[in-house]
Amino acid sequence: MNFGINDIKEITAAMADYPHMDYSNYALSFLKRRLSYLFTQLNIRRKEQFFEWLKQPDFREKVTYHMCVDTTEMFRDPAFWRTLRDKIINQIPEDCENFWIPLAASGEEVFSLAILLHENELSQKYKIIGQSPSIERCRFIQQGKMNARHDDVNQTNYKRLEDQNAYQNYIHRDNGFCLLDEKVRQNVDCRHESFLISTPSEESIGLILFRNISIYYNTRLTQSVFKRVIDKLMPGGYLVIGTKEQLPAAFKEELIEVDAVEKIYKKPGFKQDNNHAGY
Amino acid sequence: MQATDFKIVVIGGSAGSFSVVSAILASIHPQFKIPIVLCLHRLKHVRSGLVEGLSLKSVIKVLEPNDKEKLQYNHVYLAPANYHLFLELDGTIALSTEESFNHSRPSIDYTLSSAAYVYREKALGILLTGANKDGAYGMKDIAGKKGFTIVQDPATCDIDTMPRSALQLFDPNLILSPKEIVQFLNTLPH
Repeated sequence: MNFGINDIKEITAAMADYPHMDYSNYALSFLKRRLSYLFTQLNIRRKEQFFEWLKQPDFREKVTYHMCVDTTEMFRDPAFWRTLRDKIINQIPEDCENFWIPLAASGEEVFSLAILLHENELSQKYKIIGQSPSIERCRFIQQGKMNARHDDVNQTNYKRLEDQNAYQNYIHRDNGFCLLDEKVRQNVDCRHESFLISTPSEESIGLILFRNISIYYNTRLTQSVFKRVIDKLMPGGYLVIGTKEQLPAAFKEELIEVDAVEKIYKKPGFKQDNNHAGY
Repeated sequence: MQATDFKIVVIGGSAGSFSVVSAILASIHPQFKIPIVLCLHRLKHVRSGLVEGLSLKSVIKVLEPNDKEKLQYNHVYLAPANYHLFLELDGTIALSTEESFNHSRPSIDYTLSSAAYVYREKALGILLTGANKDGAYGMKDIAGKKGFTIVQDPATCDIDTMPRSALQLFDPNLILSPKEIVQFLNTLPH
């Protein structure tokens, strides 16, 4: 189906009546193609049919599932993961206990972080909190499941990062999925909730991976989600966004840019941080 | 359609297109007004080098935009590696990490179709040499919205799969050699 602006507004308005389903401030170009994808996936032929089916909780879960964008790669941007491993992890505040991935649409980002922590013997030290508005996606992550279609690119990225071939020590195939070894994901806690509605109650969050999430939002929603995310970051903690995302101007004073290429920012925590641009 | 009405130029290309695009950017009028968006198939792991390579000879500023960046006159925007590039109604760029399309990210079809939706008859689409069919449907979308379409003459292509795929789908306004494409662009306002 091909949607016009009025169709998109009508559909998002109907969705916004239900919990976790307010897409009204997503980018228009995203909504246009994602709603088209959604209607195809769920075999919906008319808007009216969609509005009727929305009344069913099971259908709403399917909608939420398909509106989430898969991460598609583990270790996307290997250079970023190298920087994280070599320059950031050892600078995380001592009293940090949690890392947070506000929108874990699929397991790739969460599991990349879990493997990195495992290899650096830090799994016991940090919990990885992920949030997903879809029950099914959350269940997949908690079970260590990923789309097997991305296995080749995952392996390639891992090799680029680690320069070794240990990927298969962690990932194996099972019933059409890639599965992350249980011992590597013991510190993963994926929660069925939208970070747009509720954030983790934990306070000591020292690293937030928020990569390529705000690209699907309009400017207004981007402003509000960055406030939400930055507010949860503990002093001295790090925020990472996508390499082609921009931190809204309003927040540039609040954070120190520590890596302009990998888009890594630090929340000043101590007096000496305020004018310090290093890691 | 008056040529002066164009608001966007989108150029798509794959194998062999670097030299064609480079030649276009070297010979285009330095004050060429209309924003140019380049969607070229590229290695996803190589994040730098292409802008620098194109900038060597370009007479117009070439950059890789960030998400939500506003299009400006007299600028060339290159779709970043491993991101799709879309155009928004408010004149900004929207990037995406959704699945590859036609085995490509950036997908030329996505960028061209997006230009067709937003700019309609004010979009100019140009499809160059390439080794797969990506871009053909996007060009058809531009033609379907009464935009203007130019396909590189297959006889002048390193690999002609891409332009031939487009020519099988619709009749473009023009089929031109790289030199003629430059000549056409230089008839547009500057």
